Amino acid sequence: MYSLLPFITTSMLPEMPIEVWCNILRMLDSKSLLSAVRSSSSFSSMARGDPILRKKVRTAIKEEKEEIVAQLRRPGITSRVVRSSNQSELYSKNSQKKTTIRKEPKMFKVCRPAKKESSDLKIRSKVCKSSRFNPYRI
Amino acid sequence: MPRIKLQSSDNEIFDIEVEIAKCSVTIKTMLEDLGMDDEEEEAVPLPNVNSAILRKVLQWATFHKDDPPPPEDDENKEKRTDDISSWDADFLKVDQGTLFELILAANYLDIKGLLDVTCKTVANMIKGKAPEEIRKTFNIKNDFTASEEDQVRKENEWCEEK
Repeated sequence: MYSLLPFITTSMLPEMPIEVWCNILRMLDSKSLLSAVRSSSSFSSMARGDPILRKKVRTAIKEEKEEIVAQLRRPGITSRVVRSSNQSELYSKNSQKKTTIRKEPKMFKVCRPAKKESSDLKIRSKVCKSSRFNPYRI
Repeated sequence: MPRIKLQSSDNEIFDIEVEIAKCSVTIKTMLEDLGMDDEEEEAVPLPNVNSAILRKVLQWATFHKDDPPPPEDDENKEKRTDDISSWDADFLKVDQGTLFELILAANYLDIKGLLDVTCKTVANMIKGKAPEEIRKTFNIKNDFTASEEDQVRKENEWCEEK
């Protein structure tokens, strides 16, 4: 039935007794369980009703948080917030944190001569002083 | 060898050996309770199972009739899902609708081995996928409201006290 009518999307899962679904969810590892719970509110309510699953989801969320924190604390990683172009969505929904691992440079950078650098600084300070430059707009 | 007749929901009659039918705990208990004779003419009605699914179930039961009874489950332990035998994997290469009907039939007839292997197949369909991919697999839409979605991210929402 589901393969014949692929254009119908329902909010309902395939109709099966809840204990069968719980049995299936119990077979999952914690990461897959977490994404299953996040995919549909029916999975979510099933996991809430089952003591073993609830415990597992709780620890999975905890682990996920710790993992993110550990990733952010590790040096050599930069993270930035990326927002999708769809402005109608909620703020928390359309933003996404992306982390990129910075590769170690193969060669050391050679410093430029001091003279050039000072002239560079002069130019920069000139630019900053221009009347157009207004970094903090209210 | 004693035989038994099973009648599917669309009135097709299956004449099979009792040993195969006894894979199903539902039928086994019924036979023990009623104490059916060897030469029983009347068919056992199975109103929840249609003939196509019943044929599949019997095919599975015939292949697995000599299997030892499955061990008892430990609820707290995560089950392995990659130990599906190659015959079972081939047997379960069916469309999703049939797979779920097989699960329903196995649940109704109380065939633990078949229920296990079908559930494992569904679990493998979920494993390692992102929420969006899971929705696509089961053809469901995102029915979360914003506040509900936040709840799924908070650990303390899943406390025991609640």
